Amino acid sequence: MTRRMYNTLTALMVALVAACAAWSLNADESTAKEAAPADVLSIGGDVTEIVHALGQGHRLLARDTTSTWPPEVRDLPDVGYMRQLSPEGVLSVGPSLILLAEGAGPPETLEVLRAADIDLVEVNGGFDAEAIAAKIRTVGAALEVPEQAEALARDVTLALDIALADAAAQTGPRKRVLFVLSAAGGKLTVAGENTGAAAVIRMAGGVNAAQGFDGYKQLTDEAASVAAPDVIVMMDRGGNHDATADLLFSLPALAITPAAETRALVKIDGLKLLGFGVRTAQAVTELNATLYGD
Amino acid sequence: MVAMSDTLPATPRRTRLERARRLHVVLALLVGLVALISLNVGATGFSLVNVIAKTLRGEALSRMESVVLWDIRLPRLVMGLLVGAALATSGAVMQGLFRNPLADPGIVGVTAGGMLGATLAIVLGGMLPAGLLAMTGGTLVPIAAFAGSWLTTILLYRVSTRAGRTSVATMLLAGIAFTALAGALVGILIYKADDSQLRDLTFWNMGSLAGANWVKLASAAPIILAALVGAMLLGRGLNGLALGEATAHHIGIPVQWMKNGAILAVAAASGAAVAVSGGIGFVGIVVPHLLRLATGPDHRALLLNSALLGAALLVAADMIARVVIAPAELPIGIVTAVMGAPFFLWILLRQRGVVDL
Amino acid sequence: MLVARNIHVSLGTSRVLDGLSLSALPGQITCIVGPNGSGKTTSLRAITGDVPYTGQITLGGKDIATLKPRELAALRGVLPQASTLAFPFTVNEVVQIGLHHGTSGDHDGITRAALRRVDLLKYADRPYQDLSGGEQQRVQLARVLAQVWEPVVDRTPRWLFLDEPVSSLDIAHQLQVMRIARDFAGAGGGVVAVMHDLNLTAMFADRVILLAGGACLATGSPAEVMTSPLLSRAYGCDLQVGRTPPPGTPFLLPHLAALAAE
Repeated sequence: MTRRMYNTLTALMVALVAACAAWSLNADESTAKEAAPADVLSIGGDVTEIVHALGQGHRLLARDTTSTWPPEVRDLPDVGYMRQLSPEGVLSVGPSLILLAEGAGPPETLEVLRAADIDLVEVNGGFDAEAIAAKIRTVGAALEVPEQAEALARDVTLALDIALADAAAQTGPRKRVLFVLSAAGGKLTVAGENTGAAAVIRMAGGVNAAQGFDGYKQLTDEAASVAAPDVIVMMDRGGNHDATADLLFSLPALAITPAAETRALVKIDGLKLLGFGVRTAQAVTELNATLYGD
Repeated sequence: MVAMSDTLPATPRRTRLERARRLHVVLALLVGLVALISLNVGATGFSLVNVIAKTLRGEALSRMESVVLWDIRLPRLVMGLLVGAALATSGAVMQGLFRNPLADPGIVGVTAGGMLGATLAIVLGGMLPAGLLAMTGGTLVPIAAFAGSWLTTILLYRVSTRAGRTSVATMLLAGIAFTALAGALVGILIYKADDSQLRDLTFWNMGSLAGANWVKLASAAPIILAALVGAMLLGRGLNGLALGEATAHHIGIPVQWMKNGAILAVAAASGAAVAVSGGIGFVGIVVPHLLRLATGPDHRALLLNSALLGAALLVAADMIARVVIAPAELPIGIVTAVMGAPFFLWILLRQRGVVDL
Repeated sequence: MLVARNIHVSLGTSRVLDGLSLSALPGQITCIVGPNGSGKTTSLRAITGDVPYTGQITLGGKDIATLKPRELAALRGVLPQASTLAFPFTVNEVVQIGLHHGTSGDHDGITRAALRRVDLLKYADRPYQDLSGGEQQRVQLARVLAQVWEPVVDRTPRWLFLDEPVSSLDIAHQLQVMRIARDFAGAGGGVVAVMHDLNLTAMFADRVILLAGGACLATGSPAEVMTSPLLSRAYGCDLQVGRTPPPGTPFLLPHLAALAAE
């Protein structure tokens, strides 16, 4: 009995190992692919957006999981979550330039990539217009299209300025906005200070209802009702808007808020809202319109 | 003397111990084979065979080939071998020490302490002075995890040792308490963590060999190797312990020394393994159990076989992790769990009655 | 020679051994008897180093408190009252666990011989856990025998310490085990056995130590110690030595089973 099991186990292991060997032999072709115009790996949804906005989308070889816009990038191979990149996986798509949003890692992988003589360009983050413009210029320089970058940076800054001015011109009381990251299991995780969401809310002319803490944290039911938001903002993950609204406003935490009375729930695409890329001005305008009606 | 017929076989059958010792050779060959295939396999598709051919022809390797081989696959292979051997052997030693086939290194607090250390480093690491942070760089988390597992083990040892005698039962219970306490502290830290830190923690928990580099190996390898060599000496002692501590003492085994040695070896080996690769489960339980079913529980052969089989299995699991969703990568803890759990259940169902608690 | 002087052992709050002194000679079977709670097993545990004690115990002239486990294992083997086995070893493997470093090289030979002595050679490759309680006890005896296979080594006698060695055995095997003990003593080794069974004690012991209340009540030959007044006092009930029950009541003495077989 044990002899048979032992033999079965050995056979299984051999089969497994043989399968991997066979896979590796098949995969040999991929290395020969000498990517002519496509030579860039873009890590970070905002960075990918900027690459496309600069008209350089054809140069993309692959992307990471957070890069979801424009829709055509979803056809590119996905190297995984940006903070846990696998060195060989990245190398396998054969980039000569890698654009890294802030927070890409882990550091060991980046070291190996540098050792492989690949250009790594880090694109720093930030929650305001200057940061976005800086991102655009960095990416533009790396892609060797500085004039387009300058033009795009100007356009984006202008759009954002207009959006901010519109928002600031709002008379009347500011709406209190609560950004809900997740309501799983009836527990609310919301955006406090020093988050991208807080910045966007402020830019759109609203007031962050969740004050007194940093980062994305869980809010107790009582704190949520004291926050008294007029509008709830969530990321759009697809799905039925009404169903989400029903779910949300039936929670004891939110049921007695002003938002519940008017069922004021806004869902915006996560990357557009929080990416701080080229669509931020759009996001600000959209949010502003929803808050104050136009 | 009461006369009974003795059935004396003409030639004595090969003992299980002899079969187990032959298995050393088989498993060593398996390790070699898996290692070679692992060097040959990867997302980039570079083949070891080509590299060898090139070297023989006197051609230089391309930059890419060189990096993939020397900076990615080779350190990863070595780390997989070391971590696999460390986890499997630690499991076998713990099972022998606690006289229970379900024991794993987590009992002496290694996993809980490692996790606490790693969580502290991930969440609070940013609070260190910038100079210190720059110096340690990517090694902060492994160092903290290792320190965490050692501190926990020392604490547990102190709690369960009185008048020079370690009570294994007390250690088990204290280990449960410490794990709960560590879990609570981790929970508090998780609350404090921001989004990216939380994700880092999650991935650390699932385990990965992707961060393998020569720097980490330089510190982890000597510790693991020394611990493994030390563990191999515990074979006779653990056999005796299977009869109970009193009997082990009667047959001449220095029981307290053995316990000290076993706990030290396990803390070192699995502490280092967890520090560099995160939370990889199942290897410590499945590998020794499989070997016991195949060639018996004699620790003199079981410990070495566990090291070899653990090494081979982990490298094989890593191959799967690297290849199955390329160019992305699965955390290896998922692979070992997916492979290990159903297999383990299958074994238990087929062998009911052999495991005597 | 085994000498224990003024041994005190406390377990928890109760004083189990209260100034016990005893001795045993090699070449003899010494049986320790007494009622439950008299300290029989505890005295053996003190001698084998399993419980802390105050007082002095010497074995072969050496104070056992100064000897390392290996040195003690070379001098004496201990058969416990009950054994557990945590992993599925075979009978053969269990006996081998007892073999310690430095015995005469032929390990396999000794293991088989030991199993043959306890009449279990045919089970050598069976899993230990499949055996009955009595059979497992005999395997443990084989292990102990394998450990101290030579009763005398370099003019130093070795010892067997047996804690109730026959309690779970049938009569035939009880006699077999006691004969093993007698052969060991006859070859020059020392045997100290804690016994429940007074008849077997009477048959095989060269010396009897009667314990009561944690101290020694009487020592001497079986005839000297196993008298009605002494036994009655020790066991706390009216015992009549040497008398047969009224006719019509069946009774069976191991003495006669031994005589029939010899």
